[in-house]
Amino acid sequence: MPGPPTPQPRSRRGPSAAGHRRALLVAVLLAVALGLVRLPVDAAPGAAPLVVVFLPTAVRPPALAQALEAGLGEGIEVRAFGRFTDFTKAIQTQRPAAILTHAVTLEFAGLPVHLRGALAEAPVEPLLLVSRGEGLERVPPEQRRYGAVDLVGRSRLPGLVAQWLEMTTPPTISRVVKYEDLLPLLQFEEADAVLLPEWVLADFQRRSRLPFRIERPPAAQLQRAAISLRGSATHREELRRRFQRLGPQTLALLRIDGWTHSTLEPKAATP
Amino acid sequence: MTRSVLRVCGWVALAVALALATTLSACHGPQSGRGSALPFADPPRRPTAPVLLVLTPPAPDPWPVIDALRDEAGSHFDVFVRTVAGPSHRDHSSERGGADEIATTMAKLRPAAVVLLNNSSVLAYRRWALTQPAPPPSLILMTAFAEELQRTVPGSRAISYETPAVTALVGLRGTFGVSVRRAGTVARPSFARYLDRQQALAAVEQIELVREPVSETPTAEELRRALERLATAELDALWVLNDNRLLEPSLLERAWLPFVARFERPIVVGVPSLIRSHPSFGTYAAVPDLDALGVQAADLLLELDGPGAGAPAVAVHQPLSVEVLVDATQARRMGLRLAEPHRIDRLVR
Repeated sequence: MPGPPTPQPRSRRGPSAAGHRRALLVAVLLAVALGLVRLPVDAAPGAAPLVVVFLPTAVRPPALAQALEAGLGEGIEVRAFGRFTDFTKAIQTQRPAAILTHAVTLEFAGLPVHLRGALAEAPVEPLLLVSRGEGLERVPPEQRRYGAVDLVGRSRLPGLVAQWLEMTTPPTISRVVKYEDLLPLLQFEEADAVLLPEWVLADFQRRSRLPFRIERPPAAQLQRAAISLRGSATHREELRRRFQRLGPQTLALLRIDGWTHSTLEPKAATP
Repeated sequence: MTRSVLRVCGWVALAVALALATTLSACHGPQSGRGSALPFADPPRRPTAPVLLVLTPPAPDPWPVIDALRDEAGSHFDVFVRTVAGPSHRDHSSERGGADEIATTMAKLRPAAVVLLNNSSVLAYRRWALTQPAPPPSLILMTAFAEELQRTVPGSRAISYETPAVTALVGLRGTFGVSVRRAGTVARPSFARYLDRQQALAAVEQIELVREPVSETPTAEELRRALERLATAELDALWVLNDNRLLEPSLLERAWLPFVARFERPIVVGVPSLIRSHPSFGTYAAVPDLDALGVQAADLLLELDGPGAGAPAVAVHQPLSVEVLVDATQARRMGLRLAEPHRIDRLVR
């Protein structure tokens, strides 16, 4: 049985050492303030600041990363991931300076929201519950299987879907990694209904001849793209400026047209 | 003369690549063991975690699937990866060899479930499983025409490795913004049951799949005539089965290529090598997304091993996610414009 944690020895530095450190800190801050030292915007020393992206959209991750890298300007590296697990591994191992994903994903990862994306000033978009023509009534509620894109990991996704559908018990989920994969779930009857944003339904209606039945669960609201920044206030300010300079075409790839709040104070995400 | 020889050599190389990509050493006698080149270390054993055993050939093709499987199922299972290598085609010395080594691995690890990647793994495992009163559940992945193989392995399920016609043809609608209501295909009699299933799935999307039959061992002339009949069948697209016999070099050279050069409708294929080929063959390919295949497999295994509703009752699932490849030059020749360029994984010019 493990014992209590061993107390760490206290610093043996005397007051004079602490005084030297304070003086050094003041000198560095003064140099930064005077523009004598230009800080890198990343959290990882010796590397270009890294932006990690996980944002299931119609755009393939490499294309999204390329567009963002061009939009953010020189000296920023962007890595986009299509699978939640790859994204969380990258956060843990690659020390990103910024994380761009849905606000709900940031919240589930325990990360603060510094910039919140919006479209027509709306920071959320409604999700639709789409089933094949015959509807959901043919399946008893406890046996229903719902298709959803994995935004928060396998173990947490049923809880998120239950929240969206205002269910007391997490339902059985067929999870996919891309929105377009929800259509085969309906075609092959591997799900009784799928949850998706309106733009995905419009895409399905263009390509599919399935008779869709559409419901609008009132609590099913997906928060749009959001950003969590890391590092010092100076670093975060620089990255914030870069994101706010993104042009309309790049923002459209994120399915937003601007940022609703840009305070550097962390603002808790709400589901 | 020289150009003709070079072209034939090119098609031979293409056919070999295709054979490797689809048939995957079905006639190999198996050997199993730990591959030193495998990048997957054994996990530390947890006292209560069930073991998932992954049997794979010693080739890197399935690594993305294994990677995703370990990521997605690793919190529940202790995932062990072992190679199953087959001897050369000429070596028929031991029908039991692979099964014996698999028996040793099974006795040592006592897996709660087994993943079988590729035909050689399935065949080796099957020899062992047929001797057992109750083999553990197994999941067959990345094998050619898994529907047939799955029926022969006790306790197995499978995810098909061929992209369903409906997925490819609906994808074609979206990629080029075209109407696809009628697609044709040439097929040998041994593919009848597979095509029945494809036809039923395509009907869900109001796509009619027109079959043009050929014999089990068609000549170039027979295939040419079948293709000519399809050319007059008012098709929106041609869907090419991943059938090595139909894509032999002599048939490619003497039947397919002359037809492809004249056919003015998109040609949908299921392997990347037929998009990257020169001269052009396929216009559009939808091939399984290996990363997503690993996620799909992990979820199926977790449902089979976990409490609750359990996995859907079907034995063979369709792959849910594909990567899209387009031959831009051929598409342009046919007057097709990309409606969704951002959704294409690889654009070949």
